[in-house]
Amino acid sequence: MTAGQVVIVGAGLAGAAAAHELRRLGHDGPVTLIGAEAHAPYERPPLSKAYLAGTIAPDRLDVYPGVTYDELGITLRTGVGATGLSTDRREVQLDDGDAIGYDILIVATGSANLRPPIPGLDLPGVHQLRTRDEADALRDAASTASQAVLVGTGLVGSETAATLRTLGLTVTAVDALPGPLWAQTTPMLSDRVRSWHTGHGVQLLSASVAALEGAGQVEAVRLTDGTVLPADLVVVGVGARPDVRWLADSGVLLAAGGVAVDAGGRSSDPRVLAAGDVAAVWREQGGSHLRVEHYNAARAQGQRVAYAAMGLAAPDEDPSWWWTEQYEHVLHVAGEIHPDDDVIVRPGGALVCYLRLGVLQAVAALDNGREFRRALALLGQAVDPEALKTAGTALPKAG
Amino acid sequence: MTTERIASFIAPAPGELTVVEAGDTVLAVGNVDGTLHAVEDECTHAQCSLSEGDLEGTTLICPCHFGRFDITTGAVLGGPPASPVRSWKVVLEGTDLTVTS
Repeated sequence: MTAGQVVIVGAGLAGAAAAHELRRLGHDGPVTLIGAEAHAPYERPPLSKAYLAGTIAPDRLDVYPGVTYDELGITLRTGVGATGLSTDRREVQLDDGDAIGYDILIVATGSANLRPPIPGLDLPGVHQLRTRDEADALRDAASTASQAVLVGTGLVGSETAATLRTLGLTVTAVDALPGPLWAQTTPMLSDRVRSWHTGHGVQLLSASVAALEGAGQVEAVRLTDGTVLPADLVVVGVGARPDVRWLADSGVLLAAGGVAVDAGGRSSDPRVLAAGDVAAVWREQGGSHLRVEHYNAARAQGQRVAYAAMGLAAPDEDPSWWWTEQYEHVLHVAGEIHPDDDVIVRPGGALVCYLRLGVLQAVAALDNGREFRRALALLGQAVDPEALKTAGTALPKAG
Repeated sequence: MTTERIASFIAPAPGELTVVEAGDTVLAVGNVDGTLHAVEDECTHAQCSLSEGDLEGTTLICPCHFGRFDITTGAVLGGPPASPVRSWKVVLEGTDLTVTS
């Protein structure tokens, strides 16, 4: 099957990666990349870090710097969202009233931030962070604010807390879970991340938010235990949901909140593929669909669906990993950590290895990308626990 | 042309990296099979310290997002970085290191 006219809905990382990979693989038919935001595809990780801090300019956010979509023959339509899909007519309905036909459709609409039912969420001074425009608004607000409260200490919340603290604001971060990155990591790793924040004077509270309060502008965050935290800036980061509403009547099968796809990104409809946050990828191990909301996964899945679009077999997947940067610290994590894994902390404490039946299943590194990368090469292999525990035995280079 | 001299420099072992301050510039110095090479320490992608990364042959790997540079030229070999790191000439005589850009 030749790919013909490829339409990619969603101009984030996964969509941009798919478009580029199609051209790299030699697809010479039309490619249209449609994005709801006004901007060409950009990198989201800096939005809570260097871009929010104002240390990098917008042009440093380009996903593929140095080459334009025009030059690659990719039609980029920004500021246009999808409202519906007809797989019979092979047509996507757009919110500008237009419709676009496809031979292959790649769904890469990403996620939308959850808006929890907290009173006062619409008050001026209350922000969320996913898009570049939201980052611009938050940076503007931070330049005049002095007391920030973060609601949610997942990845975006804890990174934003660190950046706002670095900008000189007083920062309090609240989460119903016991610690930062609690859902993403383990209690031990969460404690380490907590120490980064407390070391920089950020107060972390395990509590639930009752309301955001203020007259015309947010002035305080009220907790369910009655505590009132004064605030002139509030950032709510409590997770996201895949943007699949436009597929509701399409007949494309959904799973785990996203589009059910195989490892190559193929959905229940042979002409519809999905990548990035929206892709719920079937995994033999575990026998379930899994969505991953991380940068590397979005890029890799975007590239993989280009192979599927062209009827090609994709190369083997590299192990997926993610990272977070907060203050001067970096945490890298790869693999899946299970509560009953054997946990081995390497001498020095910078690398934590998770083993099941002697096989390295997951690894986390605190400020040690060198050992992390070496350990990444050992994932899925049997490793000697005693050697891992011994100081002076360096992990072999990844090669 | 800028030249800086660093006294009492302890060279990294083959395959290893070290960091050195040369005037206002911080350099990552690597030992490739007995020959020293130096590039500016700050990764062009996200300002991470390249000397905290890994050296595999002549490939210098950033510890943050694993961008890859040729330590002999500063050229990007792969990963996220869009631009090369500046390469410096290095001469080691005894424990006196001279670096030139």
